[in-house]
Amino acid sequence: MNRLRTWLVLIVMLLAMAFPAHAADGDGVRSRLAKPAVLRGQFEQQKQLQGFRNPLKSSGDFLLLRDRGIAWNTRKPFASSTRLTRKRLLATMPDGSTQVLIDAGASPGMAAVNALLMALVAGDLDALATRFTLKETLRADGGWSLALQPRDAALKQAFTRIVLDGDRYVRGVEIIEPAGDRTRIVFSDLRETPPATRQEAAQLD
Amino acid sequence: MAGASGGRAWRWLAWAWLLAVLALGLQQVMFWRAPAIDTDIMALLPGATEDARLAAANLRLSEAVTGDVVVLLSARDWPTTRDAAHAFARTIGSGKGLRPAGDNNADSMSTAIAAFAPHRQGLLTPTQREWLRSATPDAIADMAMARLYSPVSGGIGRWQDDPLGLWPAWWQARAGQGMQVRDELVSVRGDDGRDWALLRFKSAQPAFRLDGDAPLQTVLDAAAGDARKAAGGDLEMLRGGVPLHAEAAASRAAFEVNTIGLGSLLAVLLLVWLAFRSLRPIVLVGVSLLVGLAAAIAVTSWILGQVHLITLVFGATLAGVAEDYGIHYFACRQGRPEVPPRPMMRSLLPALALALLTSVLAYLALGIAPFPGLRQMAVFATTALTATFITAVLWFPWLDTGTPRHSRFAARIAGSLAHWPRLRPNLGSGVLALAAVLFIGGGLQRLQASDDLRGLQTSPTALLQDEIAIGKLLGLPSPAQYFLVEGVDAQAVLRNEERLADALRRQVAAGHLQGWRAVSDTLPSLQRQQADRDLVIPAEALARTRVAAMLGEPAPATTTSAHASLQVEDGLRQPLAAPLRPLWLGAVDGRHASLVMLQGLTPAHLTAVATAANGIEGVRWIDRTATFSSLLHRYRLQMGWLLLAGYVAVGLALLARFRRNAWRAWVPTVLAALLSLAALGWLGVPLQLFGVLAQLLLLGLGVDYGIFLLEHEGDGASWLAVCLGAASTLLAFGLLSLSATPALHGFGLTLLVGISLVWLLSPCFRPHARQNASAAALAKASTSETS
Repeated sequence: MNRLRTWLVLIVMLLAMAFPAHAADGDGVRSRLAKPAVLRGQFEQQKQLQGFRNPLKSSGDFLLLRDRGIAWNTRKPFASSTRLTRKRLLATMPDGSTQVLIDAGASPGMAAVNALLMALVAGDLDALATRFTLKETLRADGGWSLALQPRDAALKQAFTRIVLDGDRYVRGVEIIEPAGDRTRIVFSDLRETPPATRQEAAQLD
Repeated sequence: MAGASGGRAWRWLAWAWLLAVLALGLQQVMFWRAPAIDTDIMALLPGATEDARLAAANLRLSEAVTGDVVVLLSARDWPTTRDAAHAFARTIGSGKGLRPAGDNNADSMSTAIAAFAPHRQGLLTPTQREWLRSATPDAIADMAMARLYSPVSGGIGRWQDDPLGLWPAWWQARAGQGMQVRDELVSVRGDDGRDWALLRFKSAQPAFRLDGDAPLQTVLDAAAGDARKAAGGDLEMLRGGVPLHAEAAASRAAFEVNTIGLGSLLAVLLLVWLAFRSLRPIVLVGVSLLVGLAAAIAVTSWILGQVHLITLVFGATLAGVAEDYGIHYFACRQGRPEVPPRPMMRSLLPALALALLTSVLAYLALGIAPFPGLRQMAVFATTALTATFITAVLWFPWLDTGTPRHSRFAARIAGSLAHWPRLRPNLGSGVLALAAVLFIGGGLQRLQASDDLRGLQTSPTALLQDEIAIGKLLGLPSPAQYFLVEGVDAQAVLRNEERLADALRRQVAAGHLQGWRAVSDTLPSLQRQQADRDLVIPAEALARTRVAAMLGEPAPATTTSAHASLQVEDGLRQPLAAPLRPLWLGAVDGRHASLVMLQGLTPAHLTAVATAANGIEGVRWIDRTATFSSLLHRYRLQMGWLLLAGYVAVGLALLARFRRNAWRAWVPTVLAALLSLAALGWLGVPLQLFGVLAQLLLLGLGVDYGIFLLEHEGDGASWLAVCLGAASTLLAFGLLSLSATPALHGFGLTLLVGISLVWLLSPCFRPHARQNASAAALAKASTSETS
């Protein structure tokens, strides 16, 4: 259940990870970004919610295989994981149960969502630019930031603005939601090796 | 009128008829200024046997669902498709006839969410309902925690107002269909991953135009040209929508009305000119036909409210039938110039009246079946024939003041009767009879019946194929099969719909069906809303307190107030519910009803889905295709029996008038009927209701020739009249057989074959050489017979 949330989450994660190659409005960013076939790393997330005194912190790791999909594993404060493949989006809950959130074979609508997610993994900025307006700021030291604002009403319900920053890789993401909630994700230990093990690749079949 | 002893009564009637015709002229001017002409093929199909709610449902289906013109465009990639779609819309915008059906629902999204928000806790998707029923408190808390820790809540509003994220998922289920707004266009992705731009337009024009133009098609073609230029030549395009079908049917029908009507009128006038070499018969026959057709249009639109296109096409053949009376009169005047006009007409009256009677009975029999279209044709034809008959009888003797002229053409035809082979008991006739019996026997054995509805299909194949492709891309439901749900009030209908939805969910799981559309999916019954609230409220309270305890925070209070139930009538008023409105019939005849439409139903699973609702209260499976087919079947049989009864009745009528010679008028038509049916069998063409109806007409028209020949035995003038009449009738039905509507084509073909046979056979059955004086005079000696 709760597919909308999960795929929106995924879009943001993929934005950060697989960052796009053929930008129209993001040409500068594109020229500075690497486009690795494999990317591994750690993430730390801090979320400030309306009605909560303290920020919520979580952390974990991820593996991106550009042609196959992505596995996003939260380790703290509890273990859960989400996997996107060409065919489906799967979530493993803390109790170990697995749920298919999106099945491309189920309907044209689901196939469209899944295809959009996969396009992001493959680094297709054209697909992204159809749903967001992009605005880039380039710094002299090779760093950059890119602000995304949703174009259509469905996405506007979910995001006010998304800001990415980085250099060769995406280093951080900030998400501002209409209700006033803010999320900041920082990536660390980004590396293109080792290649995916057979088991890791099989997870993304 | 026949009994008028002197000229006075006759003249009075003629003047009275003139007044009637003038009124008719006036009516026609009014009618054609804004012709009430129906182009919807469904209007020809029966509705009389249905109850009020079923009739309302079918009416709703034919008028609503797709009143727009829909265009789908796809080029090699999305940017090109987008440019092509913009170019297309620009060209349409600068022209006339179509305007955009502005439904950019993206902007109204937040309004819609706000409108439904107070009812949120009563609105669940089936998956959510199932999950909440079975989820443990731990699972619920985990779900709330996972949602809290995800990078974005993805929610609508604050976490504490919807800790389990139920609300966005409900909206996601509404959106469905894989449609999204992209560059101010609605885009759809096909199964093959291809992106299409969807454009919708409203038609601002009445569909029917007598000039046969297709303005919508012209505008769309121009826009398609510009779009193709914008896409660099490589562009796929699908077009659909009722206005396009109506326009295609109208322009084709206008063409057919013109060719058949004008063609047979010209042919009749040419034959009259060849036979009588004088302007007066041409003018009089022409006038009588025009009066007949005008009266037919007037009476049909007066009795039935409007005239259907197919009726007009069919009616155009009447010129070739109704001319018989006038031609018969002039042929006899030419044959016996010494008899003055009025006594001549009086002597012809019995034969003419009998011929009118058999034709009218045959046409009226078309109207027995409860097909509105056939009833229209019956009224139309009966009126046209009667008015032409009255015009001929009342006006011809009055206006025909000249002396008839002889023509060599007429004399040659009249003389040919004497040379016509006559059936007699010899070897040649025996061989022919045996051949005929074998042909008929073999043919009838091969003859198959069919009750396929497609006989009435008028749309071009390309348009139908586009329509199927569009339906698949947009997941449109089929209007041919659906469930009709009834109940004592709106709530009962919704509850019954929900029970049906449970049964349909199993059909979807079994792969029999892709999905369905029902009002209760979006606007559930009050009972279900209450049940869902009873699941949601405790689960959300639990999520809030458990999460707060885990985080060591005070439980955040929800900021929304108490949740209210959503009434279906209020929900339907929302813009979001626009696609659902056609499904909701509301109160009809004291009970409430709605439609549940099915998506992706294939013939292979028809029975499984049809029986899925067995035993659910207030739910009826409606298969319009099957209903029409069984109706066609029933009336094919009924009309078949009527045809047999008709032959018996006509036989008895002939017996009363001609005694021992009656069979001579009867057998040619029977033979023609059997031979034409056998021909269908040999050709592998199945016999349909329309084929049986054509046989009825063959009886009505064919017997006339026998009557004329027997009434005036051996009279070359009658033979001339029969030949002229048959030639023009043949031409009219020959032209009808060119119609693109399969039913009319079959009709025309049956009559073309049947009338030819009756025409050729009738003189073979004339009595043995016992010629009277006038025949001998016309057919000059030489009675060398070849048989």
